[in-house]
Amino acid sequence: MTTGDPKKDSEGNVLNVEHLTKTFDGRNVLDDIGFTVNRGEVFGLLGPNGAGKTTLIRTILDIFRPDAGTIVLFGRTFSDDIKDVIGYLPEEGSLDKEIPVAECIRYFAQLKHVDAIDKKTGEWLERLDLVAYRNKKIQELSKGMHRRLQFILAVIHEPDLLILDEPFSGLDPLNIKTLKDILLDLRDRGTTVIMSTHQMDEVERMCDRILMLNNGKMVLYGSLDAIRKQFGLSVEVRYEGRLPHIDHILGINDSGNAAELIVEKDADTQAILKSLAASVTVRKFEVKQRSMNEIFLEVCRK
Amino acid sequence: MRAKSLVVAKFEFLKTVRRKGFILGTLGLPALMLFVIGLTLYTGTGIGTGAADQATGYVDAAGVIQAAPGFVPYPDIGSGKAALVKGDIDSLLIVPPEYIRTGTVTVYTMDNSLLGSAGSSQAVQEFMTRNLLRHENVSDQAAQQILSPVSPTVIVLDEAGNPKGDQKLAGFVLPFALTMVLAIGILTSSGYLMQGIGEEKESRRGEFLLSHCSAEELLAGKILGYAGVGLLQIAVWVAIGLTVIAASPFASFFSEIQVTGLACLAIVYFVLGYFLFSVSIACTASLAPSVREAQQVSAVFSMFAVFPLVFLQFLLQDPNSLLMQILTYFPYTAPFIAMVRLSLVTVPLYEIGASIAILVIAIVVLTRLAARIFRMGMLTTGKRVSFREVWGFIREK
Repeated sequence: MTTGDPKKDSEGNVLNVEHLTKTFDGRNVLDDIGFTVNRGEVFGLLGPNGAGKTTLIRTILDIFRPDAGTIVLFGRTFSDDIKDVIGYLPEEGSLDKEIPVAECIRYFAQLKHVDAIDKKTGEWLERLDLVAYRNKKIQELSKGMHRRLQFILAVIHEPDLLILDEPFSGLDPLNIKTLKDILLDLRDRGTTVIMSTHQMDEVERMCDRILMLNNGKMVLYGSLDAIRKQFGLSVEVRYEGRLPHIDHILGINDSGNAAELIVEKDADTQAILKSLAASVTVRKFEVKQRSMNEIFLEVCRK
Repeated sequence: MRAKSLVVAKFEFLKTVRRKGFILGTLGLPALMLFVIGLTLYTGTGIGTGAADQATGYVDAAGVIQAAPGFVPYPDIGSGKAALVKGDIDSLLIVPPEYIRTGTVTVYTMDNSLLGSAGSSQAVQEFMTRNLLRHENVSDQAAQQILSPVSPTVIVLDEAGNPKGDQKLAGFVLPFALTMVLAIGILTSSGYLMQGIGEEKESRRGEFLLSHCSAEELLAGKILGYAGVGLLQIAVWVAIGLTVIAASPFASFFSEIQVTGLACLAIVYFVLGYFLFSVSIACTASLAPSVREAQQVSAVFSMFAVFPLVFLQFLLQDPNSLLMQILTYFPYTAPFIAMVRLSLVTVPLYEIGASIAILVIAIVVLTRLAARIFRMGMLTTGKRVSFREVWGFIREK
């Protein structure tokens, strides 16, 4: 039973995908994908190039139709009015270069049935530092400005679900910070964010949960903490001497007098320290959770 | 029509009509044509040079010519040539003594243009005919009838032997004119439509647009918007043309035009034809990897637009032949062939009904397929789409 209001129709989660499969030319681009995205969270969509992230996003947006499986948005299957509560920032694509900035915003805002377009346009241009370009043609914008304008188009209708494909590409650190602040502000005001990115440090800072795809299959799914625990710990060591063979070590990145040791899950790090101290002079021994970047690389290499 | 389609249509329309290329094409083309026509009249007929006001001189050694307005007699060739060189006359006619027996005359002129020569020759023919008839003691009234023996009033009968209702000029002119307007409209609008879709594909904008509205809404909006562009351009051209005609001596000729039932049928074909071609061209453009390739493929559709001209001889000889009947049923030629046939003969009602029904079915089927092809085609960038892939697009749920 639905109310017709997407905000009310989903109680706990905004998106529920089950057994989703999409095939192109006989190849499974998405193979039995299933996950949920909770209301108000920032959800990371990760994976190497060609993993199926963009296809998944397009299928969620009903641009592609699934061959099998179901997608439930806001408690119901896709309908045209759901598009009005979703914002989307694609990785690629440029806007019509001959159109003035404000007119471009008006066009896309009208397509999303936005009220008080002029007022909101002014506010967002101010926030993204584009006020001076309001009446300038898009061809006069730099790449970074163009990306910021695309971001305005994705959020001007205050979407309940915001899907971002590589949102920070082409932006300098200052603009990345501005965008991140806006995203976190939107999240705090109830917007759910799905973010596809290769920037693992941003994932670690912003995402609550992630889904990682590789070759169209789910390889990781869950909260960051749970995934990190699943992949064990790493130990940063500074030492003098020659590193001995140590049990319960999965891998070593050795650079002479410093090394990063990837240890097995549930391994006793004190025992590792003792083994090291017996063979080399240990100057530093720091146990930490593995970074998402390491996990990403490890999963992709498999 | 959905609200989002209207937003797309308005955007595409305003974007295109403000382009310099559109303004130049819309106003520049008629201006260029008027300039060429004016230049042709100026140089070809002597307008502005004063030549039209001048007379023809003659030297009559045969004694058959009676003086007439616009014809100046000269006693000999020398004085006639001097007057011609001086510009007093625009041509000099020499009628030799043996003219009655041989019919040979010589014309001297300073104008070497084809139009000038032809005009002189026709005027000389009529002048000499009148003088010959007078020489043979034929009355002026009889001479006039000999010179212009037929002034026909044509009455077209229907199959029951009664005069057809559409005796007015509109009966032929309006459907035929709409055929031409449809052809021009398709050629101009399809150009803008292809350019618009091609640019969006090349800039990979389709995905973003499809996150704002459905493929059906986007396609309908584009077709409507660019149809508006094409019709505005045609309207401007027609308005300029009518203004020029109204100011010309042919104005009264066109005052007979009336909107009849036949003209209404022509408008139905016009609208259906326009929609069919727009949907087809939008599909083609969405599948092509570049604007240039889209234009090449879409040339096929432009060929249909010129079918009435290609088959004009067969159309005029036998408008109800089997070939013309087949072309009336084929959706891509129906709007053109049917409209011309309707303006020439009585086409059986069942043929018209079947033709329109096939056209409507074709549009409905094509529109359903087009939305799927368009949606997937817009996302396929930088490569040619194979028939197998198109089949895959169509089979998408």
